[in-house]
Amino acid sequence: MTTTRESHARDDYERSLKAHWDAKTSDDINLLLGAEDDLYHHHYAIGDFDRSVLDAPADRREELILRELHRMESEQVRLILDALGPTPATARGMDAGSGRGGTSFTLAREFGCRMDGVNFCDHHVEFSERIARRRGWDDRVRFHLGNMLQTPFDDGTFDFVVSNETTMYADAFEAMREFSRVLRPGGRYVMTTWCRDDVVDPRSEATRQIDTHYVCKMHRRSTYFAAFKANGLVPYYAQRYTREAMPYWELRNHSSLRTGVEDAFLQGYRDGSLNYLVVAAERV
Amino acid sequence: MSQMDVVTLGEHDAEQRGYWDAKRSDDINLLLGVDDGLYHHHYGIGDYDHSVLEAPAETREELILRELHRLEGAETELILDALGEVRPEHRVMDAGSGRGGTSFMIADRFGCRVDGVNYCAHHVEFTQKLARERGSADRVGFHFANMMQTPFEDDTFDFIVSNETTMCVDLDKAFAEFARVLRPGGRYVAVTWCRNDVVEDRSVASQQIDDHYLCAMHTRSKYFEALSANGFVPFHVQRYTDEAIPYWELREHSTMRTGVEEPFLTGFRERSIDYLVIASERL
Repeated sequence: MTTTRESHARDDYERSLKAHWDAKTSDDINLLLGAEDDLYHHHYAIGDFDRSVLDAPADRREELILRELHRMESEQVRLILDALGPTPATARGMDAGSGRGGTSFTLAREFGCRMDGVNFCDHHVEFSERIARRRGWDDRVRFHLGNMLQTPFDDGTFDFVVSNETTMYADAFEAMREFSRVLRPGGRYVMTTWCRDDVVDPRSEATRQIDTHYVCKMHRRSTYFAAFKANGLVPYYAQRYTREAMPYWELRNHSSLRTGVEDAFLQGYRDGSLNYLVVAAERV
Repeated sequence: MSQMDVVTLGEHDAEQRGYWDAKRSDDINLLLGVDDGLYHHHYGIGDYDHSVLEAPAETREELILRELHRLEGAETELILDALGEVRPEHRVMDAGSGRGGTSFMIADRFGCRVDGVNYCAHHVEFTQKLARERGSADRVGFHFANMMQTPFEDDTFDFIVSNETTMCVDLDKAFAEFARVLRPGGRYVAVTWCRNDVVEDRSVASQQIDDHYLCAMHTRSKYFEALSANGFVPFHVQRYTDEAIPYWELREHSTMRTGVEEPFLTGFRERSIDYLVIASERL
């Protein structure tokens, strides 16, 4: 599905965000990692890494670090799978902010279900559509050039909606309203996100640096629950990770592909002002 | 707080209190705690040892009761685990402390001070006596008071727990009181059964349970609404609806069954009732 570029970025913020992603076509940290298994991720990970990679010989070390980062990112999608619970192959899911498709393809592979990814970056959509064709999955894994806050789908279309570290790019209330709209009653929404822990510090230096780096607007933890409440989404699962979110960034700091945002994430998790959150809710 | 104040908080409260005041020889709660001094007023989690059902007639009932008691202890562990790091200098409030099982388990594990609040006079006497017998009266105190109007100063506690007690109170009033006595950044852990309004707003099973206990079970969404409205931000939520079923299956085999087993089993099986742990922090 293609539509004109202008229709998906609706205001100055969204235009600047889209320009950020449109320009980011040679982001090796995402591209190299996915080259082998065709799973390209745009998110981070939790849990520890294999410490032995740091002791590898110089000529192998960088490759082993990248493989380990990729393994952890692929493993991260398990957080969403587990929170969704058993899902039949007849289910239809939406991936809000699908990036280069890693989450959509993993869910389609695990559940055998139909997935629709929505993304407003043209080259990401083309990229993931190409992978779908190459895999022969283009009948059930589709990518749509669109704004996840204003999707082309009818009310109640989906059995589940997921967003994998994408909601910090959108107004939380607008996002939950749209996700709730396209979900059938009883349907599930699962998100992973990093957010400000407003119990500790509503606005830390670390979270400000991250927002600046990614042109995003990280929400507070309380904002998510308020946005769920306002849109008929009732949590049945939530889990916070802070310490567990750190090893990924420690490892990335050892890679030549580090982008400079690593220390801000480490600092935020260390001082508790940044949370890594998984929340699953059902639509009333 | 005077006896009068405790009662006059509302008509529903008065009814509730009458129910508990009259309930002095509830063997299912009393017999189970005799061995370890932990008397619970909540249910259990996890599967039971199915071999107890094959036991000889003369020991079967006792083994069933012991197994029920073990599952009740496992349920309280859910709260203890969700609290996180509790240090000996911390203070914990147990809202609706019943006969003290949860309060004592918290004090035993963490070595902290626990204040139980309950508006049933004979429960408070029972637990105060128990605390003296256990030699923990200096650390575990029980107060005759309504959990919606406690005698404590603002920001007194580092933690608050409620173990299957919030279905007996107005959630907004209770959470407003918890927010008042909890320090900023303090944690509140609730275990509760509730109506799963995603499946059905008001099932027959949930009505039967409310009638049985004179309680007013809330919807799942009501919990998150009231938490949010009172400055509580969840950090851990876990649904244990499937894991809550075996306890009731086993209770049906006991002579102590009270008749409420069937609605719980129906409600959990049809998913119109959820069993939930919610841990939040106060902004």
